[in-house]
Amino acid sequence: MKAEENGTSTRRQWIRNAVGITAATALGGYAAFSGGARRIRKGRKEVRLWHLLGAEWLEPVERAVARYNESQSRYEVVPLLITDSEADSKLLLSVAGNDPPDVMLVWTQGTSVWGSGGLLQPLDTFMTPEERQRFLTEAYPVVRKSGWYRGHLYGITMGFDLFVCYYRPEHFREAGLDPDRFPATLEEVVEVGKKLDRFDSSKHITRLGFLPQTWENYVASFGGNFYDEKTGQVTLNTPENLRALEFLVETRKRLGLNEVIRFQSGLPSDSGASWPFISGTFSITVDGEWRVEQMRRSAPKLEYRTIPIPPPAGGKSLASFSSINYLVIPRGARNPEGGWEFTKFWTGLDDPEAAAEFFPWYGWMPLFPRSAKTPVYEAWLKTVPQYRTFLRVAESENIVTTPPVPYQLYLMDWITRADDLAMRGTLTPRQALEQLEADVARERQRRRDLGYAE
Amino acid sequence: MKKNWVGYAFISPWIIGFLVFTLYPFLASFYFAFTRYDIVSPPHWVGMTNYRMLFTTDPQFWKALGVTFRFAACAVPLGVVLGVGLALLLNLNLRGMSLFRTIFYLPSIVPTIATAFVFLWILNPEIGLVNRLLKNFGIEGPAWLQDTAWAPWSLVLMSLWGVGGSMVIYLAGLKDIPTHLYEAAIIDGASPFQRLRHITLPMLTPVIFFNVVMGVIGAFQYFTEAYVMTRGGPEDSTLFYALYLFQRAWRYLDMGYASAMAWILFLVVMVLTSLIFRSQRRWVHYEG
Repeated sequence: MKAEENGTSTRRQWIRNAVGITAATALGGYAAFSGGARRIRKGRKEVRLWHLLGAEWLEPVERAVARYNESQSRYEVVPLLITDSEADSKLLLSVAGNDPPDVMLVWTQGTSVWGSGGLLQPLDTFMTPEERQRFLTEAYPVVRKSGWYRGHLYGITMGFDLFVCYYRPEHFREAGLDPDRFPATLEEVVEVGKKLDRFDSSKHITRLGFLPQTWENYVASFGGNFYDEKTGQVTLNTPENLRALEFLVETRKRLGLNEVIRFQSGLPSDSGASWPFISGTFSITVDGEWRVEQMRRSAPKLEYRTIPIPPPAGGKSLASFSSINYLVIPRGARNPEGGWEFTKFWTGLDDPEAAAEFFPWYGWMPLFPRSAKTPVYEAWLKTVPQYRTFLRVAESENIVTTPPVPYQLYLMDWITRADDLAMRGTLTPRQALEQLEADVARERQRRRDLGYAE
Repeated sequence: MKKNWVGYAFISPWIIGFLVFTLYPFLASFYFAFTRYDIVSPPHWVGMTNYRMLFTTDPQFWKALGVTFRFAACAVPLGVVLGVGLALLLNLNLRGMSLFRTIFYLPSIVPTIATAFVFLWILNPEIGLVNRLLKNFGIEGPAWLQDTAWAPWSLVLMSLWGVGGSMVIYLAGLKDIPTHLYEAAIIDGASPFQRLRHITLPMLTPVIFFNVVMGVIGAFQYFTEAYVMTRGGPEDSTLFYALYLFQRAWRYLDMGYASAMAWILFLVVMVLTSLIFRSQRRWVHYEG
């Protein structure tokens, strides 16, 4: 009997110890992981902001958030950096788990996919008539057209990429060319590029004069598009799109696919001062607006110029593809009003002049031309006059973006695939476009059969 | 039951974890495979449509299946040959052998992601280690991961990097072979090759069988390296089944379709495993 009691008592002690250790571990874990949580000031509602802006962009984001938190007393924005590779799945899971952020900055061009899937709240429902009017009349053309799906705005632009030509004047001079007379057509740029190419003794490329790449970046210059706004239809196999792809393929052939692969695989990463344009590995290259601020920081003394992509014969000038950073408010956000208030502040929707100071911090395009005309923005432009090229292009209507269809991620993946097939010579440009059109048609049919939104 | 409740309490974290994170998703995915489901909206019943479309209208599905089959058909036998070969060499009674065993085992404990990034550099056509070595012999190496013909082989080659894990199991199997068998064979005048052919390999077949089963299952789940290094390219040459499933689920929000793919994969692996099990009577020799 006594032995039995002793056994029971030992067992109880065991359980007590086990429970104690488990509780201590849990508390310790909680303390360790909750240590970084930011305190919310009394009387304020928390606004959770998820963003992807790490490295040199992290500090400016936190500065903008601090500026907002100081500007009012209702909300406290708490930013959280999410890594790019996991951002989409985190957004998806947070909505599914009913614990999403109140506002999130995303890079993936998938607002129509997420909007049609019910992941996002339509932002137009938060807008006052004045805000809507301002957005639709004053924002840059590409900004006011982007983020919509079936009459609702699911993402508001917070910085958008445009692509122009960057070139190195000293390479022009070295080749006996006048850097003040940049070629007027795309075909002429290719010819000038040939004069700027350099090879080693084994005939491997050491410097690339000009190599147009990425089909989507040139479609607009050839007068093409991936979407017809009037009919709401995706347009892929059109004469203009075909010409753009043929142009890229023909130019690539000159150097040979393997040689280009070899050359590119030996290039360093394109961040900071490693960008090959800075080291002189490219003489003319087409790239985005963020490079200007990158070069101001990493190579402030480098002589370079920018110019809109010259149109091909019969093409369009001031044309570019644009990929867009969106601010979105997920479904199930606890404080969507707070998320929207911060969105207006950061994007400049409520005051374009006040928000103008944020964009130079990242080297981004503002949403409104008014922001670009403020003294603070002008002062920054004086330090980076090359950026004015992007502001010129931003005024243009010849900007192509990701089509606002609910299968836009599939579509853009397949557009990239067609580009790759043609560039590798596996298919001719015409075959690549025919196959692209057939693949997309099949995917649309599959979605229809499953009952997805068109 | 009452007597054992303390024991159950102690293993309850595992039981709860298994029920919530394994059994429930497993059963739920069976249902989702018959639905249109984007994880956010409620699932909508579509019957066999997902399965029908996979088999009849989705060329990517067949492509992904083909890539995975080819990979399994190459990587698993090569892994066995190399693993057994290494184990035989490391089973020799030489000085410092434990050091060699450690060296060959080490790569298998390096995280897959780290290995993938290292191989991205090793296989870089311009500045990579492999092509630089080849250049010393006057050979211009291929573009490895960027070349349609070479990319799948690059991943097969890379899979052999982790062969140390199975090698250790082969080594344990070799140690388990009774020495009296070798002694008897030597007395009978058997050559080293004959001893290998008629004693070592037959006695090792249970271990080989185990590694083949695990290898086939692993090959059909191959994902991380392809996701990090090639994203399925170039031209879908490394579009592994698990990678395509992931794209459908997480990029295109087609969880129902992806669930159907997961169940097909499960069946394929089950069929292959049972075929290997059925074949063991012909080639696996158990002691006694």
